[in-house]
Amino acid sequence: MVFCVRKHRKSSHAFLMVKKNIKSYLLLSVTIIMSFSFLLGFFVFIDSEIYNKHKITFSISPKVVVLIGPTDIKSNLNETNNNFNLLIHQLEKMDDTDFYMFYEKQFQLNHYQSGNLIINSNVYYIPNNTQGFYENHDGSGFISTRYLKGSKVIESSNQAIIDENLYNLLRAQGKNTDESVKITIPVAEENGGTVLKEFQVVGVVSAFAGYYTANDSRSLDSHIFLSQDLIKNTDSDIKQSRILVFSDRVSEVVSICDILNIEYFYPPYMIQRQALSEIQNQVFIKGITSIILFFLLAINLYSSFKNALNDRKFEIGVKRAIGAGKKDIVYQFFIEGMIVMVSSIIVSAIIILNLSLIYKLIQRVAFGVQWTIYLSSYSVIMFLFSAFFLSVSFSLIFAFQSTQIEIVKHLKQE
Amino acid sequence: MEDICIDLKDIKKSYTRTVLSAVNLHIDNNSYIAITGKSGSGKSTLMNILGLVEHFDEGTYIFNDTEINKKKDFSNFRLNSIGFIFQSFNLIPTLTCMENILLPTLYTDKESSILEPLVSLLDIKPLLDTTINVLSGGEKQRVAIARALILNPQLIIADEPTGNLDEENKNIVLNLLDHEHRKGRAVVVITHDMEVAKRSSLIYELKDGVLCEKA
Ligand SMILES: Nc1ncnc2c1ncn2[C@@H]1O[C@H](COP(=O)(O)OP(=O)(O)OP(=O)(O)O)[C@@H](O)[C@H]1O
Ligand SMILES: [Mg+2]
Repeated sequence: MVFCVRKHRKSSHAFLMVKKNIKSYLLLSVTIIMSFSFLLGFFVFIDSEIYNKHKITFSISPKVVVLIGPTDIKSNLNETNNNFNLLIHQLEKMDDTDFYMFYEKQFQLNHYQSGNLIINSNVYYIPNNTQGFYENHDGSGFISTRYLKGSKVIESSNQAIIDENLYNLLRAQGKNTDESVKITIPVAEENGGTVLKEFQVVGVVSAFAGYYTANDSRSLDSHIFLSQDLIKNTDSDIKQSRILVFSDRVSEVVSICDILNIEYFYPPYMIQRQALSEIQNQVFIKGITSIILFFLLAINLYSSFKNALNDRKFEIGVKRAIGAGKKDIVYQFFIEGMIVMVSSIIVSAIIILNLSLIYKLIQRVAFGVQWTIYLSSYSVIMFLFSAFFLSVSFSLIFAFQSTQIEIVKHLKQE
Repeated sequence: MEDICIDLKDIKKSYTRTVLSAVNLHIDNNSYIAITGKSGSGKSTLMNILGLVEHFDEGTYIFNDTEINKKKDFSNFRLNSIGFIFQSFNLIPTLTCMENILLPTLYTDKESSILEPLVSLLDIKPLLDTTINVLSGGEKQRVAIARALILNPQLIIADEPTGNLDEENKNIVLNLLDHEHRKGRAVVVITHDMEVAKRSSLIYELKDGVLCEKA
């Protein structure tokens, strides 16, 4: 049969009608796309700003906490500090928990000084073959080590990991080739004196601090990681010890410390919780703004759909006259409304994604900032809710308005 | 084929002036009615009321035992029982002929098997994929007729169905209406053309808002 009369699916008819009315719908789509792009763009911008502000905070593993270890490390732990003993005993018993002690020492690398540049060094003595290091940063948060190149662990007492500023400085001084960078550091001897010792630089980490200028002299704060094997009981400069704990049960570790009266740096998971609550507080402002935007959008869409409907009154009149029920018309216009809304919303999402990528690129190229695009689950839910609610309600309003048409009024009269 | 029985009693309709004052009309399966009347006498208004696309002010209208009122929509009667050939065609301009003709089938589960014979009879096969916009008056008229008949309605209302047609096409359409009548469909046709009117079994003239039988 050439003309097989099939019952056209009503939905495919709705698609057909969208295609036939593409011009009027394109105009409507522009409005919808602009509205939703604005809403989504607002969400992405606000969320990304907050996220980038707290990025470092969230980059630290919530499993880590740094405890302040015994101050008097020269004496035997077992005898002098029962509480640390108890703590270590507890930590050893806990599942999914690793910890190590490390020591901190500060000095100036005078022998590298050139011109008026002073190099201050923080040296961390860490156990061999341990990875992961976190520094408390101005007491306001933690900075985690980012390994840039080379080894992530120190394997023996003649190896060192240094930060990138120091690394670049050493290379600029020309005595080092790329393959083999060496650094000379004063170390303590058994007899209480110090001697300059050469270390092989095996790894480079991102810099925690950097250059600053004060009183006509320039300083560089640098970081060096060395093996704990180098520690001598006679090294009177080592005053600080820390215990770095990795655990799935950080809160438990913290409460043990509270009981044992052992100090710790404010744990990253708590800092993250604080940041989260700060983000939550912004939710209120975001909520108000999105409600206002939502209503502007609604008014905008209402008039747009009303206009679109005006062009269609004759069609509705005809369809009703030849027997289409109100439900049929509602269905058709609901589907049409949904098609237009959903496709416009998808286009909005694509536009905002691209704009964000461009903004990210500008931030990187022009300002050297690593700007991360971020959209919180709250915003996603808000946006999807707005999209869903507005799509459905306007498709329905559109559809129901379509039935308010008096048939004969809109048929052509000659 | 179900029987059809329509009774209009004292139907009144006014706009700024009274157009129909007291129209009485009975239609059943044997009816082949022609209605004539001056331009503006209310013929199309009467057909709109009969075809359930317009409300009347007073009187009673019984459609197959159902009393027609303002409250209900009666779209199922329009769809399944009435084939309306409008004076102004009322085809959707952006759709093709085919899409227009098949429009009623969107709203029903009934399958129509008469598209092919209808299309070849009305000689519109080459037009099927053409958009309505570009058609001539006569072509539109034939497409409108095809759409009205696609679901095999019991009552065919034809408002000036031959107004735009040449002699040849006029005969095709009139033969089609005759054929429908012989199949047991009720046909109501509005015309100024006595040749068309003579085919019917009953001729009315609409005058001063009432229907008068013509000899
Ligand atoms: N919706 C309306 N509002 C106001 N007046 C109307 C309306 N529809 C029709 N009329 C008037 O009612 C009268 C009858 O119109 P109608 O279209 O029924 O005439 P007709 O007999 O079909 O004329 P023709 O032979 O020219 O088609 C006319 O005077 C017309 O102006
Ligand atoms: Mg008329």
